[in-house]
Amino acid sequence: VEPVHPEPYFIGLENYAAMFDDPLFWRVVQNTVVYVAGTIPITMALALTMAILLNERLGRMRNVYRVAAFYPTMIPMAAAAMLWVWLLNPGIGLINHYLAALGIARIEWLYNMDWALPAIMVTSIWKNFGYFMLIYLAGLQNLPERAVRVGQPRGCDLPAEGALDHPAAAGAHVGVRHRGRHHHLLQRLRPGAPHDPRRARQPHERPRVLHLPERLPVLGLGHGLGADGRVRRRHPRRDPVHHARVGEAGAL
Amino acid sequence: MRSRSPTLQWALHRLGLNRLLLHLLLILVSALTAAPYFWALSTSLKERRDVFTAVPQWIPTNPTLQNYFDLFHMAPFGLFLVNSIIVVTGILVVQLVTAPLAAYVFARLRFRGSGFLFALFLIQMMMPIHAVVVPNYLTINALGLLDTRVAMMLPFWASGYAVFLLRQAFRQVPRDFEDAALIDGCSGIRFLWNVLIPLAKPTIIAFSLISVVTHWNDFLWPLIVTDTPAVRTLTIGLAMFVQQESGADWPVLMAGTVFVTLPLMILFLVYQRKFIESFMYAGLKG
Repeated sequence: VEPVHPEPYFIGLENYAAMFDDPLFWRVVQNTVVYVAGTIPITMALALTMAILLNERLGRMRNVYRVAAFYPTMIPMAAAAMLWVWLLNPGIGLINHYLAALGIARIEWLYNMDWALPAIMVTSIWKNFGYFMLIYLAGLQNLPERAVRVGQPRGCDLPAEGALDHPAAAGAHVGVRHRGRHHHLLQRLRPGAPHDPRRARQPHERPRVLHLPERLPVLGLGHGLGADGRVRRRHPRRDPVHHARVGEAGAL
Repeated sequence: MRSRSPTLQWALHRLGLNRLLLHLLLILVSALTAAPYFWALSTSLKERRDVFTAVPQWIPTNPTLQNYFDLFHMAPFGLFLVNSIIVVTGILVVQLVTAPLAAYVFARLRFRGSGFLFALFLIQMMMPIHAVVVPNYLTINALGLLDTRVAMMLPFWASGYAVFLLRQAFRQVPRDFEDAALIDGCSGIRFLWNVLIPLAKPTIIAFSLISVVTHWNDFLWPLIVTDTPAVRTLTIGLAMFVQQESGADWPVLMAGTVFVTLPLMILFLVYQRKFIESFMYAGLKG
């Protein structure tokens, strides 16, 4: 073992260079990217879907479903790991047993370079989605019913849109669903903005039925693409949600 | 809590799903998420020969508690349990003294540097535990507290998170209440005790549950500051037990796993509403 250098001296970025030269480092980066890119979207999608389903009137069973989805959050990681090591045991694990019943050959899971990461991702999703489900559920339950009632026949197909009202939900949400409608949903919340429902409605304007292009999801922008492929801004005064809010009494 | 969501009905209607299908779907998901724990519970109650059957026994044909007795013979899980309880309650009790006092100051009093001090509390909230493990270890070492239960509790006695949650709750109490109380000769501390704390009860319960769950399940910090089994908590005890067993005796390993989680799971099942509401509440505030 080399003795510690008596006086430290400046080596600039050499340590970083050494790290970038190490193939193991890039392997680790790749694993991290795969893990994050695979885990977070699935966790969030599952959480949001479950929250929407659980927001429905389900009677007493609602509690059962909620507990089943949430309990993994309360289990220490050391114990959760044990549960899954047992389930994923290649020889006598439950998962391989049922896969065999489906005619799928034995997978070594945690002992296999290709399968270890997916196995860990499944564990992570199982452990975490219940927590985010609760956050979404809280957001949905804080949503005024009137907003749901009005938004729904107007093309807001899921109450989750309203979860955007909630900053905690919105943070996770904005990354997942970029739809034009969100853009003005957010604007609507800002008093004085062009979409502000408090602006008086012109008597000749009538609420109208949505037509298809407006409902196409467009990544990241508050506009749809027109038939000619150019970005088409939606005119604020033709905003159907806005109309629905202002002309609520006459809607439908 | 809203009981009916017309939007979803409409969406389901559009998707051609009815309520029965909705329940079936939810039962399927619930069964899948519940299966790992249920399987561990079932394994822990089996005799060794029933573990490797051709058809998995979800419900043991010969249920036995023998694995739990073996577990207690092989490692001092009773002691781990006591340690966990001491650590968790020790943290919570001190937190419930320090946090309301600090929160009261930040919610009601203006003084030079109060904004800066509060920012320091918020920084503590945002700092991941991994970032402060080494300096905290050095501090605990300098205090000569390594390998004690106090070492596991000390860093959490002043919780920025608790102060933040309580400050928000206290600030919602109208100032007039306090003015009226002060005019009638009520002291600040008495106002805190008799008015603010009762009004902030939901916040206090929410924080308490989260604190208990967090520290019951904590792994890294107790692992770093303990060396001897005598002071170890359940999570560390389980990890060490798994290592020394090198994993062949599945029924006993699962008995250990279930035993570590059981106290919280029972609490959770009994007070599930409180737990779920607390996590929702804190998730939105925090």
